[in-house]
Amino acid sequence: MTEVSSPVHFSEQMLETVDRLIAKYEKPECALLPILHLAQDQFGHLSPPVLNYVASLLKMPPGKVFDVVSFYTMFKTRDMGKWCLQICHNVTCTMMGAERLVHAAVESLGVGVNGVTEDKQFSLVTVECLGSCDKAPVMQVNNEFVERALDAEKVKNLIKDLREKGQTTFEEVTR
Amino acid sequence: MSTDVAVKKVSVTIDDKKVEVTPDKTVFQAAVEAGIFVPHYCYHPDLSIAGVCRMCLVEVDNAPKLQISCNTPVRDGMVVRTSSDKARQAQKGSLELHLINHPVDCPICDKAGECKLQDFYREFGLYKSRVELEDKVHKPKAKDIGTIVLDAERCILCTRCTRFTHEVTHTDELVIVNRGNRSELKTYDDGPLRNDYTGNLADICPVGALTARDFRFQQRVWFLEKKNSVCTMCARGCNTTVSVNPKTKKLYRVEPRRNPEVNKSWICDTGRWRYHYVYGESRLRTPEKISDGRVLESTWHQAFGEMKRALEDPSGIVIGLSTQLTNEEILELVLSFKESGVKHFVRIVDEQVIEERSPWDGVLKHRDHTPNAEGFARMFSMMNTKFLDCAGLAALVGEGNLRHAWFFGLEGEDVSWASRFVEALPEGVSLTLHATSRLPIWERAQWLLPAASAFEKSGTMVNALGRLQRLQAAIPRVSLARDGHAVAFGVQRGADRDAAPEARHVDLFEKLIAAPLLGREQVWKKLDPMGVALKERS
Ligand code: SF4
Ligand code: SF4
Ligand code: FES
Ligand code: FES
Repeated sequence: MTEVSSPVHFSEQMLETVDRLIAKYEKPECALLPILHLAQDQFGHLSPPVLNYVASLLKMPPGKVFDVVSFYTMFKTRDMGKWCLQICHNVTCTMMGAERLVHAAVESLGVGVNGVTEDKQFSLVTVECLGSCDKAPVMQVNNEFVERALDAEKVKNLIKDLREKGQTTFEEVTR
Repeated sequence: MSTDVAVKKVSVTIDDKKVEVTPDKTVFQAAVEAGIFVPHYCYHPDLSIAGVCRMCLVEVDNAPKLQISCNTPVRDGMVVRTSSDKARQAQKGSLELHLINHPVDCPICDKAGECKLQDFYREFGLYKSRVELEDKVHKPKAKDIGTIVLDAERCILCTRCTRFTHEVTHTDELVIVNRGNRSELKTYDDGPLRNDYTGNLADICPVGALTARDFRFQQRVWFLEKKNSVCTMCARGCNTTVSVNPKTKKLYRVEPRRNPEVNKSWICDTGRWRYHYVYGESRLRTPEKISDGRVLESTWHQAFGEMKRALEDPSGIVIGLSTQLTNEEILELVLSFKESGVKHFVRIVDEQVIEERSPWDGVLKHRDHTPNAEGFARMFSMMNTKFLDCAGLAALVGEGNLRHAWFFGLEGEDVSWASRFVEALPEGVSLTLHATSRLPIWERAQWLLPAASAFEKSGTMVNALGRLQRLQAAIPRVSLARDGHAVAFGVQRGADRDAAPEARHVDLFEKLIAAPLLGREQVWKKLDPMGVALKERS
């Protein structure tokens, strides 16, 4: 099993998953993306110690890992709170009113784009095309799509729901 | 290197010029061989091909779209146009794209005058900007990353620097983060660069994004003249240019000169920045006589006079020669002292590294910080003369006849390896030291004579790869500093009237050194600026 010294650690069980992922590819570094997802699930966000840890697991220069992580909007490099709202602002979604969704979210949350609420419950970011242009405008909350006839009202309701009940079924709020 | 079985060449026509090249070449390389310049940012002869800048687009007959010449292999019968309307249009377009977010702050940019954005804009651009200044994406400016200053806003993302830290130094400090117009070059952890070759980054960055802290704002580059020389900070002997302002005659920077056989396009940071001792506080400027711990400024005349008198009994004298001296100086000093009857010569070298089996650092550097140990050995075997090592010197001391030790050519402030030779001398032996700098380890000397530095003298040296190379004076000698030739002449005459003739090294090289080393006549002036590989020493 891969063993390295680091201030952060995967559990035994996750290290087994890591090894399985690495074994799937020709070179260890090919397993970078799935392992980053794994690390994000485990540690909440990808801090420099986590990135260094991943780099050492894959025997890659840390710089390469920082480079890849910064390229993708789906990776979080700082604490983004419990619920991370990601509103797509690419061409289709913008044409279909993404900006109104952003305004609604800013209003309800009291933080701007890239902001995190003080109670660490919510954060708001805009992201590039989520690959769901046919349902534009779309938004993603953590790993869930919210993509049904979304409008400002629904965004506000969704935030309210999350804040009050601590959770929601996304289908319900958007129906 | 190449085998005699000639590879079949292919013929390519570039801008109506026909060239024959080996089939492994790219269109870009074929253009270079044809003497045709194709604009480029990301291509570098000593790095892998990236093909990201799109500046080198050319028109290839039968290809529907323009091709990047740096990554297009040649084909037999290929017809290429590098400056057709279509190609020019594309080059202009690429340039415009590069400049969209560029701050164009040339007046306060230290790269101005040697910046490829400036050069290519004049040559291939000359369009009117369609971007308002306030619409540009801004990024960090003048960020401290150690020896280099990074201006991310000026970076055109050619990736030369990231390829350098990945492929040459294997340290991977530099990365490009983010995407699109927010892409930014940085050290991944915002820390300093951590390799011994950082200065090369300022050389290969085609724009003002990476500049060397040592050289920034010292001189506008158009005031400088470059002289070809070689680095003398280790036994690799990297080929260099030394930049001097012809008005002030001052040396401002040392840069690599490309030589695929020795240093490719690189030099280490030591070779680049250690030159400051030339103007340093510790630099010896006039001969000094030290008696009873008191330092008295003296003259060459007096020094030569005393040495000449001592030569009346040559058996009590040992001559130490640093392997930092040129071949010609070694020859001059040994021949002249032998003629006076001196019998004992010592090689002053870093003895701990000289016998090492793997003395290289994996990139360029050799552990021997002296440049000419190989030349030293060849000169002595040519003259059929034996030299002593430090143990030999100690044995000689043991015999009890020694009264004078004269050590020549000790250069720089980092010569701690030479102290064991000084320590081998007992109190009763008077020490005369010809060195560039006054150092604590020279404390016991009775005479300190100012030596010309490697930037102030000319001659040849042989590097650890067995290559004969030419050192050329770039600046005048500081104050009263003298090279080995002048010293040998002065001691011979016991007076300071006749300094050595100016071109003494040329004479010695052409008459005594060239033929034995090269096996043929060789005029100094025509010696290949890239040096000549010598046959192995028997
Ligand atoms: S800093 Fe210079 S060398 Fe590095 S990518 Fe930018 S322009 Fe190229
Ligand atoms: S490797 Fe040696 S010769 Fe080359 S620049 Fe460095 S010190 Fe000079
Ligand atoms: S543009 Fe928003 S999902 Fe494609
Ligand atoms: S030099 Fe060819 S793409 Fe940059």
